[in-house]
Amino acid sequence: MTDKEIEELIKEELIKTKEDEELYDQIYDNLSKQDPELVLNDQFNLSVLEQLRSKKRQLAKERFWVSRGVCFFALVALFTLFITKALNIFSSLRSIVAYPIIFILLYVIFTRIERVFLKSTTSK
Amino acid sequence: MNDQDLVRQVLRGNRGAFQMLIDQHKSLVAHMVGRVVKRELDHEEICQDVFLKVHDRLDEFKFESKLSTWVATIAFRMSINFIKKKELTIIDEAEVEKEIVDRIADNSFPADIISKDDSKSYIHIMILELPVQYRTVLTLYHLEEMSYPEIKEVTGMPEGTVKNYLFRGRKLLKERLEIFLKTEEL
Repeated sequence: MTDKEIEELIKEELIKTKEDEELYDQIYDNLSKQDPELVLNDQFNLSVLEQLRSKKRQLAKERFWVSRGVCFFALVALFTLFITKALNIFSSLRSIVAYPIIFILLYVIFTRIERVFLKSTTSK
Repeated sequence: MNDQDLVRQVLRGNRGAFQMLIDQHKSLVAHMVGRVVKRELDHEEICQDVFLKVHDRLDEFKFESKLSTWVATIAFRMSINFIKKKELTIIDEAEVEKEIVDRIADNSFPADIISKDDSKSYIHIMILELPVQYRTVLTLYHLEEMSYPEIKEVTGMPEGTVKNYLFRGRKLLKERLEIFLKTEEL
């Protein structure tokens, strides 16, 4: 059954008098027209594009910080490897002293980074 | 430019094409959101979010339907989510239908707060008084000229339900308009 046929059936049931037909005509006419209250202003397109731009900027910023974070951790890993090798900590009891030192050092670095960079970006 | 070309251009980063996409679907989105959400303050913001989402997810559009149907689906779902998030109730249609009938009976609709010679705006107000499902179906069918399968795709309602809502929505509007015109004559 086509939409038109269904439409005809609906009509047969709903329209009984000429007055009914006029009322439905009026309703159909209004339903097929835009509601002036719901028309978006001319600036709408521009504001969507502006939001899109700022979203992209934000995404680029986040990617930048993630890549910096990855680089930083890679450097820390290399640095730790270098220290442990240089101090030869795996071969003696000196490791008991070396590990807390490395841990404290990393803790200080992370805290500083968090204070200086991350807080400033999240507060924006 | 047809749907396929338009989508390809937008995916290539052509801003002009995206602007064209907005222009083509602005009215559809505005009416979908406006008829579902009804809150003037949030209207433009939700419409903007709809287009941002369309932009983000355009690569998922597989041309299995018309672009307008796909955009309308996003607009409808986002509007419904907004209502749920804001805890605005998606009113039970049977309950509201009863309320409308009662209000028709005691003539307490907002006819008195609008200009009586403006039956056009009165009908638009009346549409907003209908349950959300009726408003959506009426808008998609009459304003956007979507077919039943397309409305089914947008709203997720079975085709029989779509027809039923369309039927009842028109009937309620007609009854209300009848009362309005009679009171106007007095």
